[in-house]
Amino acid sequence: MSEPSAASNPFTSADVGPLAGLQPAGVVAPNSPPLVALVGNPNSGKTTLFNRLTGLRAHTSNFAGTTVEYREGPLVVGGQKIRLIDLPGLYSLDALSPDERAACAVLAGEQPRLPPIDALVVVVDVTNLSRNLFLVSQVLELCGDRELPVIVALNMSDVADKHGLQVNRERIAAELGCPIVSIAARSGTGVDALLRQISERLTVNRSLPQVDAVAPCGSCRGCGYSERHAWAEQVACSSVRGSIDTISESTERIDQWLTHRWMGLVAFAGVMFVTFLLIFWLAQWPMEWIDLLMSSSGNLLSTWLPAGDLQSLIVDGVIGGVGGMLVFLPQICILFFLLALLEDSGYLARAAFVMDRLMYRVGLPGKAFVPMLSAHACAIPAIMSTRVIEDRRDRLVTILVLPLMTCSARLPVYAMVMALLFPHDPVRASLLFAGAYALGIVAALAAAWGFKKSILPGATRPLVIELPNYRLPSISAALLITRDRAWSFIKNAGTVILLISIVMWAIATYPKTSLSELPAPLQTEHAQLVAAGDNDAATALLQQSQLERSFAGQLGKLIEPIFAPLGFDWKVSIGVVSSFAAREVIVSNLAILYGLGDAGGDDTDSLYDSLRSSRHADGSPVFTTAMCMSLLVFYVLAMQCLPTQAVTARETGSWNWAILQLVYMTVMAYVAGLVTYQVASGFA
Amino acid sequence: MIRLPQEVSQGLGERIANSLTNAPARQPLEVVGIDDDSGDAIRLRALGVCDGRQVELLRSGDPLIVRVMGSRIGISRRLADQVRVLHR
Repeated sequence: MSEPSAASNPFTSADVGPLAGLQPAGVVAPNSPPLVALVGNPNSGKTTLFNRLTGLRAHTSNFAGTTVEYREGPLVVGGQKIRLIDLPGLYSLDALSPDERAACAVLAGEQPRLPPIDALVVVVDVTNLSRNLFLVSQVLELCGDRELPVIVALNMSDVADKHGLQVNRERIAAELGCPIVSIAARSGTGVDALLRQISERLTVNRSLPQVDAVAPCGSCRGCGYSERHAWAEQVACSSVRGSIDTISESTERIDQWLTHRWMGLVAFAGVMFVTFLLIFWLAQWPMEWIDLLMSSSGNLLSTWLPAGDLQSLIVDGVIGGVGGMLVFLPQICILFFLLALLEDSGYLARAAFVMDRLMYRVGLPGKAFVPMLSAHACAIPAIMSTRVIEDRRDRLVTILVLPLMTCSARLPVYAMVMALLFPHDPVRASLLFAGAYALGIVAALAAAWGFKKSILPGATRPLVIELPNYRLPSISAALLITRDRAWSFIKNAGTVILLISIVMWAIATYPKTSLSELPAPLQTEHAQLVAAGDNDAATALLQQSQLERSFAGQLGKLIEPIFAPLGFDWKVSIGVVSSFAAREVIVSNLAILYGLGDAGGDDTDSLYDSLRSSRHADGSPVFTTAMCMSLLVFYVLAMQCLPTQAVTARETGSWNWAILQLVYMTVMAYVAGLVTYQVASGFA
Repeated sequence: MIRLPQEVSQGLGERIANSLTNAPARQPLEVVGIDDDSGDAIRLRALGVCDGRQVELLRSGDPLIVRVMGSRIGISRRLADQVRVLHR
């Protein structure tokens, strides 16, 4: 791909041939640890090897300007420190997908913020050598041009041994012209030999001329794919005796069911049902603990800190807001963990396979379906998991519609509406609940179809997906992924949440109204309550009056005319405005607005009672059936989650998409709420 | 060098050209061309579905599954329509 470098080896000089101009001189400190990259096919065991070598010391980063992730960790080999990076899994170096482009840039030394690599380990699944050698030949060609040392690690040698596969390593080494090490990344066999080989390549052999890496494909440079495959097959056939057909056979037997046109869908529904059951069931305890931790630390701080604005800021603003986010963390972690297990087992590829035909009808790829399901727990991990969708337009459409799915933060709002509408009718309540879920799904599919027909046109990319052999997933690898993802969620969503919590606290607190500034009747009422010894009610009355007069309260009254056609009064309007950044907040804010005080949000029965008895100025009830329905529809469809917006902006690389998401969802929610209220009022 | 089953490599009997979508399942098929030069076709070629290579249709339908070089690949029907194969 590039002309051979004039420098005889890439270590003694920052000059790496034609690419040297891209790396300012001195960018690599003379004693900075050498950079070694792992590259290989997906499912070749590359990440298992990486985890074994670096363990908990590794961290996840993004290639500059992309959402492509790679993991990097320090490693000491023979007393020498090296940086090991795990590149995304690749089938070829065609630079078609963002993953491939990023990996190619690393191999070519063109990746910003990363120095040129010093050695490359190609991880190969020895049980499927012919397929894996295709990438090896491309890598050798590229690295031969750059005179980079390459080591080929023949992974899964334990599986090969178990199935009596005879691998002629000398033969492969001779064909490839580079050192070969047999390893079993899962058990750790051969990993020490691989490390010795890496160390040797980085030190002893530095000044030796590199192997003639062009040899394996010397006859077909610049040729098409057929010759390269033919070469790979010829090497594989001449060096491996035996087959692992028994593994493939059992996988194919399972696939008879799991990829079946109809049975596959049933199986998928079953897997996802169990996944969600586990998410909601397992998460309840940690969620309670976090809730308890947050409220007790709030109480503790209330006693330590002097009463006043600082106490209120920290207890109500910071702890309240951040706690509101952290409480969803267990669900998010369990979701990431289960998805990692499903992916590792090989099942997620089947899920994309069976859903592809159905998703194509709304213009989305099959791979969009798992993110769509994940969004029923939380849109944030769902948006992060859209990275599996290769096509940018398909991915953007998926991200745009994901927040329409009913996430767990909507549940308190749904529960409130159900309790108001059908307090003693669980059947109708659950039907309406299911209806709210269905509305979210239908709206998402319709919006996806609409985006594909308008601003993001283009044919949906056809599915091309490898269906790997099933295997037992690694729990430790899934835990590592969960840790990284959870941390990324806390970093991205957490900082935004902290900021908006403070802003929302401020607009709901200022300008402050003291008791003496309240109108005389309210002061009298307050004094009567105090005199009667009902301090809670007195505090609640004061909080209610203060919120009414704050910026948030004034804003609510200002926009009341906008929400009047949906049947909302000014209190509900304040609730809608103040839950702009986090939808679940409306329940606790309504509790304050209806004079129940802070604790009102927990005492749902008395909240529902006061909501039921609330009246418009003309004496008609506010929470009519029509108004409850329009409130429900509005909350199903409205964006109202700033952390999601922050993640959308990050994943799409632009706030414009986040703003589009906010605008189209808000307009849709408003119009649907309006239609619901007007139609339902007509029937009432 | 490439181990093709005899009936394909030696052309015993009449060989029928077909699209991968309409090819018979569980039979050796030889890819003779892909009428598509988008990135998707390149992806297929990199995975081993390319001219002169041998594949086997494991499951027809949409998407379908082919076996190629010891691995299984799921392909949308609309892309598989563009893959021309020869079979007996």
